[in-house]
Amino acid sequence: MAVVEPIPQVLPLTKEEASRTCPATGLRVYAGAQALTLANAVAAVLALALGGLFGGLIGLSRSPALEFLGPSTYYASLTAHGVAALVLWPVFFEVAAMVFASSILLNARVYSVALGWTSFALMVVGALITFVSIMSGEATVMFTAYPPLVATPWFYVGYLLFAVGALVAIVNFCMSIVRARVEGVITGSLPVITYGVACAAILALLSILSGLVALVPALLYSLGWIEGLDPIVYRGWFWGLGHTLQYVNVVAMVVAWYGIIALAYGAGPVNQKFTRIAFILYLVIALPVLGHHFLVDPSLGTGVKFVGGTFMGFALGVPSLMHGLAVMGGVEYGLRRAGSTGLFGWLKRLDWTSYGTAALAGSLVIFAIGGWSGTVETTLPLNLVNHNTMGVPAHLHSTVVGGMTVAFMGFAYYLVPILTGRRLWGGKLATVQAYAYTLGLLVMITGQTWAGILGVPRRTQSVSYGGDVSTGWEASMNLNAVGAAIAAPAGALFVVIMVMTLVAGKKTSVPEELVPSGTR
Amino acid sequence: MEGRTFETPGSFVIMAIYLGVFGVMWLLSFVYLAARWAIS
Repeated sequence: MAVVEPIPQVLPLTKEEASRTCPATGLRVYAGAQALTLANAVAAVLALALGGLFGGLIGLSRSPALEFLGPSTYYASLTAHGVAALVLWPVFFEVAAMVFASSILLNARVYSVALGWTSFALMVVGALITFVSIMSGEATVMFTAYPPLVATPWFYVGYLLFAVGALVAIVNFCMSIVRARVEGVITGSLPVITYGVACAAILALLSILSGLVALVPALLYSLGWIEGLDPIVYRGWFWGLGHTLQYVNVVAMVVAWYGIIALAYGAGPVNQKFTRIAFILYLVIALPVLGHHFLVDPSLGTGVKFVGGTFMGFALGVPSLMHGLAVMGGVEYGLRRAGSTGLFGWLKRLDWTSYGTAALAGSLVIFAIGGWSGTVETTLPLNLVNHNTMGVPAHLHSTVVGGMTVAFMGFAYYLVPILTGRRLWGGKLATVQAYAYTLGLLVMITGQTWAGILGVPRRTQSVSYGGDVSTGWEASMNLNAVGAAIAAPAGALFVVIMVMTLVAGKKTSVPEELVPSGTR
Repeated sequence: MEGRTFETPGSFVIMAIYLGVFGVMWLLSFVYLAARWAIS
């Protein structure tokens, strides 16, 4: 009898990375991509916790009725708040989004998991160094660190390490998409979410390069290796980082909107080309708009200020309006096809007790208010009155905090269960959290806007100037503190829900439990 | 041939209200500036 020898098994040249199929989305989730996305998301949540803690302290302490922080503690807290809430939280979350959008969403692997962990380690070490330097009291320069203010060199070293880590993450993101294309995992156009994240990554690249030009000389100045820094030159390069980074945040917020409507309502943009053009417009317009940071500076001529600050600032509202329309229209279109009638019948079909609806509505409403105040900031004559008043934090708390953070929170409520296979902890607490945070911010923004109109200065420890001046500013700043008193615990509740989901969320493979519908 | 239907009228109305309120507020801000200038 002939014996057939078994065919020798051909071992793959590389070890096959473990993967699973997400029961809710059907996406293939590779272990490396999952771990990297989760690690960055957890770091983001911890950064938000710190940013929120110091934000709450500042908000309460700026109330003339309280004023419990002394000058040194106040400026250290303000610096910590700015760095954690405006840089660390969004960038860690955006890196999580970059990994998710370039691998999990494409059913592909991360280009290099090792590169991903290198980026994460650099960002974490950089963030820790910066934070410790602030807490030591040696870097009370606020997140802008305008010269001639100077911090300990460690502050700049931490910033730079964090930036290099983010740069490595961008490289890994690009290479992951290239490899997915080369291997034929994706063909045709990128999904809208990946496309949007790619636009955010391009802006982030420009932002980081500009930041390096600002921060390396600042480090040398801090070390005493150069004699001085031109404040105007520094401000120009810094806002190439600062404002462009805020548009990285805005683009990421828009991506989170599309993510929420896809998962909660099964909806997407009605016209893909319209949405993609709107993303491209951000790339074209975002950089010149940094001119509005110089509207009261002597460095630029009035013509340049009008074009770069005012007109381009107005133009930058266009892509945001387009996305707002596309997001609402996408939901409306889907619900009309499902049977909604009348002008606003589709709004009644939304489940307003769903955390997706709560976060999306909160983000859209607050960001819309930020659009109004942004136009005030970029209009030259109005900026001259509003400059360096509480009107400025009113604007950025509408855009970066209200718009972006609420959207990120809502997206995280879907992303973390998908990544962990655990049901979101706390039931309807997430919905309460999203509404309470939105309410707190709306009250806070009202107080800050009111204070801005009265001319209350921003970044000032004591509105009453130690009781020496009777200013009549108290009521507005007390209202600001009331808003902070509502928003800070609501922000803390988000952190609690995230942590509890990770450690105590019920394991499930039921799609509806992982990604509950946002419609009725 | 069936004509094109307007798929998202509600969203357009919301956006029109938003832009309308913005326009009025933007104009009012200049009235406010003028008033401040007049009384100063």
